[in-house]
Amino acid sequence: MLHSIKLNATVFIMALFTSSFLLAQQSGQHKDCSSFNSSRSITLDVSSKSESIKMQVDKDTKNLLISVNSTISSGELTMEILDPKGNEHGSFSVESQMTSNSASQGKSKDEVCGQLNKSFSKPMAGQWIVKLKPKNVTGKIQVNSNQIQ
Amino acid sequence: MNCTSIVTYKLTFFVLFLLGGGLPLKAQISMDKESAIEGRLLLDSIWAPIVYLSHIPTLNDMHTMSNEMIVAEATVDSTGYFSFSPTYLPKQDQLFRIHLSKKKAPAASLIIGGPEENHLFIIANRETHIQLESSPNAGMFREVHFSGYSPNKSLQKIDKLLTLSDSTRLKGSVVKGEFAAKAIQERLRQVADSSSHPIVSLYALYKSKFESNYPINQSYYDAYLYKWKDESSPYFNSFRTHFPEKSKITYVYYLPFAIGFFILGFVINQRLTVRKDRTKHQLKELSIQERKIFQLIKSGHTNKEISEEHNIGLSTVKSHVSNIYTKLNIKSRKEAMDF
Repeated sequence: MLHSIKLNATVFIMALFTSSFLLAQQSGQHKDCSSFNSSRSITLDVSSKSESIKMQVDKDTKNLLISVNSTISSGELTMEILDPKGNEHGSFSVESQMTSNSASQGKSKDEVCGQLNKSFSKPMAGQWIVKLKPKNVTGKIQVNSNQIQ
Repeated sequence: MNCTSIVTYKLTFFVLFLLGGGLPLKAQISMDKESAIEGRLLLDSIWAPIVYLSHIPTLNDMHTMSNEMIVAEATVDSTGYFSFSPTYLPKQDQLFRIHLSKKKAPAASLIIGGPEENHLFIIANRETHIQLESSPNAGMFREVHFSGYSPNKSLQKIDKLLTLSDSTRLKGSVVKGEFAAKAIQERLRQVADSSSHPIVSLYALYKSKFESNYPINQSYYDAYLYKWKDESSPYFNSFRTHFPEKSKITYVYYLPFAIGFFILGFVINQRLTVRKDRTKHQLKELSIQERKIFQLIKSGHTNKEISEEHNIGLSTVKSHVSNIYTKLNIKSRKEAMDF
């Protein structure tokens, strides 16, 4: 009985040792992947016009993550993610009407927040576009992208 | 501790859990069978303990957020329980969004995609009773158990199909992902076609990217629009704006033909009028005797018969006939009969 327990414990410790070694190897492989991040912050005011934020994606890109985060206090903002062929892969629209009360206080209680997180495995190579269409907007928008090759 | 005692211990623990925690929680939700939208959301520390209900006026607005869309809010208590009273909602089914906001974020917050997706859609009216419970193992709205008003289970099935499409695209090759996406879009169209609930049906169709499919599958959409032709909700009225109106197409299509027929009719009428006028004018050139003879020719009489009828010589008849031919610009008896 005691002998069996010892044997099991030995096998368990050996398995633990082997798996930790393999895990270390795997994490080393991950470090070989190159990653490219980009970030852009835009402040929008009533005079802001439509804008396209372009991202060049290579054919070797394994994964593309696009994250768009916006907070507006007035106006209407529409955002679309388009692939190099012009197909839409996600959108949102946020609208806010600043009330006279909140405007007089110098800050808006009517802020609206829109966020879109999209991940693309083996994305189409070419120019990806984040299209922003503001209408009398006051607010901020941040566009982050991460490409793993 | 032997095997039997371990089993007994686990069973006791399970029963105690049910009695002490699980069953009372369930009872709290199920107690009120009157109309309500209620449930339990296991919030982590990033979320404010308030849940919002937004009205979605058209399915084009599923990814739109504004403060004006929020129709109710409810506090999430320490057990995760929340409840809305839907008594002020419309009598007919409408689409709503249940959503949360992060702490210090505006109430009108929309997060699409990723583990922090903060919303789900439900169908409700003033009399519905809906219960939902989020699973602690998944993201906030990734795995929700619905009970009550049945169309919401159908919505959930549609969402699961989309999750399957996304996961296949993320894990598999590009080609496999495209095949899977097409298969799932086809499945969504089948769901839209077979669903008897208008909003569920339309929800499936919107998720199937119908706009890109319409040019290659027009007959499906024609049949679909015909099937729901009597549905006059804002959801369908908005959906119909994505397609060219059939009556307008027919009108535009037949308009050139109508104009063509009008012009043709006008020309024929003009020609007939001119011919009639010319005929009248030519007949006026005939003498009284020639007119009488002309009438007899028209009715098929021979020269001899005309000669006998009018008591004139055959040569005189021939002379009249010749004059008639000249004045009417005709060359034979047959033309005279057709004149």
